[in-house]
Amino acid sequence: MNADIARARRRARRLIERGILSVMLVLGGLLMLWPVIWVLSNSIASTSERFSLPPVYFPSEPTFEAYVYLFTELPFARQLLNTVIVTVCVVLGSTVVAILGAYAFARLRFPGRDALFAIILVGLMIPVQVSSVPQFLLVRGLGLYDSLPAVIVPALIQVLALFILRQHFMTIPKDIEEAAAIDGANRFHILWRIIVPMSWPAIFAVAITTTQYIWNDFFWPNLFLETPGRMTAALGLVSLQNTYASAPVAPVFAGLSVLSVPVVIFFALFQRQLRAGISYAGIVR
Amino acid sequence: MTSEPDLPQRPEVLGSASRRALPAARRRRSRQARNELIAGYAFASPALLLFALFIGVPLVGTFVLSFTQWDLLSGDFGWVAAENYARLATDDVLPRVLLNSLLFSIATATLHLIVGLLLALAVNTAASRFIQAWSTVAYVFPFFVSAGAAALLARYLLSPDFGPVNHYLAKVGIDGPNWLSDPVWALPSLVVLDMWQTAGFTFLIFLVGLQGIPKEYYEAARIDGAGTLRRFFSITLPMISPTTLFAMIVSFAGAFQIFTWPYIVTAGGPGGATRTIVYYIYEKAFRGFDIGYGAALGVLTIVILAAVTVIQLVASRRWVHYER
Repeated sequence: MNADIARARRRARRLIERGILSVMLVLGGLLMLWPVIWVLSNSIASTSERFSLPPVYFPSEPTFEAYVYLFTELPFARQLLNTVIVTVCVVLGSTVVAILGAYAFARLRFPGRDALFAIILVGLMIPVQVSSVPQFLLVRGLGLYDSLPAVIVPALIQVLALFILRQHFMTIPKDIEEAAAIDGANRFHILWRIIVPMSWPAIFAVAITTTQYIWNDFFWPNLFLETPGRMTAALGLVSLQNTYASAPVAPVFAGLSVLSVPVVIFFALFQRQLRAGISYAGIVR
Repeated sequence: MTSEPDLPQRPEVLGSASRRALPAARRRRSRQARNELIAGYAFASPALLLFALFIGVPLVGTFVLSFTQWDLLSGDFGWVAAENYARLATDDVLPRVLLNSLLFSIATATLHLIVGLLLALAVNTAASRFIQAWSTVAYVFPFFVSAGAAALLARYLLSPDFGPVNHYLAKVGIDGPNWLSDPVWALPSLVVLDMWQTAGFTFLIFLVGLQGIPKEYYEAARIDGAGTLRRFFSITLPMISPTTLFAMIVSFAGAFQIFTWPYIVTAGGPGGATRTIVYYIYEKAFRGFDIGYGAALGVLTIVILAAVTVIQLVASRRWVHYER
């Protein structure tokens, strides 16, 4: 009898605890989302309501003129396209480079392998700004200055991707490859037909980390891209805002909405895969 | 790093009958080894070449440049031996720059661990699918909003003219300072901005880490009469200590490299209050064309980062538990 009461009380306490935590997490999440909501509602507010205090979250006369201006008067569409081009090229290219390298470092024996891998890992810790002058000269010397390849080519080596994939490949049993080798498959074949198909979750996780790196990198685009039509989207907005002190703020807000709202939607759609990706990548071990 | 011992691929059983076949087998095996060597270098070569070209060579270049007083334009590098390193000691700006970087990194790394872990524990305890999904979206999405956009956003939010932050603070009776041009509040503002953008990722790492702890451990502890706190300190913390070490090293190194916030939000100001080490390097190299000194600052940065990482790793032996 007493035990029943104790158990019921414990359950009730746990329910209350869960309820309170849930409410707090929802409110905290709203606070995180709030800047995006604020920017979005201001981007569609009419001139009279824009930036009014207290902020207006549901504009009475929504207008899309800021978006029209952004996409017709400014090279923003082109800059978005540039961002997409850079992201796709870097994610595809660097992932292929990382898969090949990771396979070599995880599976093949060659002199200096572990020393080379250790040296590469050091690259993870070094800020890009440290060696930016030689890198700048190099990129300029290759004739890439003020062109998209200037931000694509140096990013094709993603040390984190190489590391994650190597750790993952080492967990795949060797027997599988040996069986294929006996059947006469060469290494290339083994890698693409056996290893890669077994590793999609890890490859997906690597593609996600690389995408994040590219979107988050402001230093290289800022250093290498000069012509507005060749800039990436975030750089375009920042430079627009810097060039004209009296820059039309509404288009910048429209641009910020374009850069942040789709991310929220993407997360809403893929949050489960993202969590799975992180555990697969072996980041958490 | 976990590297496997080089096991012989196929241990061959050499009976007396097959002894005559030995030279052929050995030849076959050495051919196989050579094949593997060639394949190894071939597969690794794109990564190795790109690494050498875009990370290795520039790093060596930086080291070489740190012994010059080059201005990026003249044909003569102007060798000055270790003069730039001597300048490090007499630079009046540098102590403040290093302090800024250290304060920013320690503050963000610590807050990352605390906030990330608390959020993960809360989500795990709430034990609801909706809350887990909601939290992944709401707390992690800023990590994928480009830093440039986030920085612009922060400037507007904290603006003294139409910024809504001070408006709401006034509502609850707080007279908000001019965040970004106040020497005291500028750096903490950047810490908050950094937390908004990146703390969600630490939370996600912890959440996945927590969910990897076998439930039986908790049940066994409960049967033994361990309370909530006891379970947390005796099971949860040791079990996620490798995750914590990872999050700590990554967030500290990331924070030490912070460039975008001081560049876009505050331009290192007011009065150098947010000038971080990598922003200072950028100023010296690309604004002042003081390439040699910028390179020496770069070498200093590497030394500091290496030292901090080694300290973190050595200290971690005391508190990180790996499951055997």
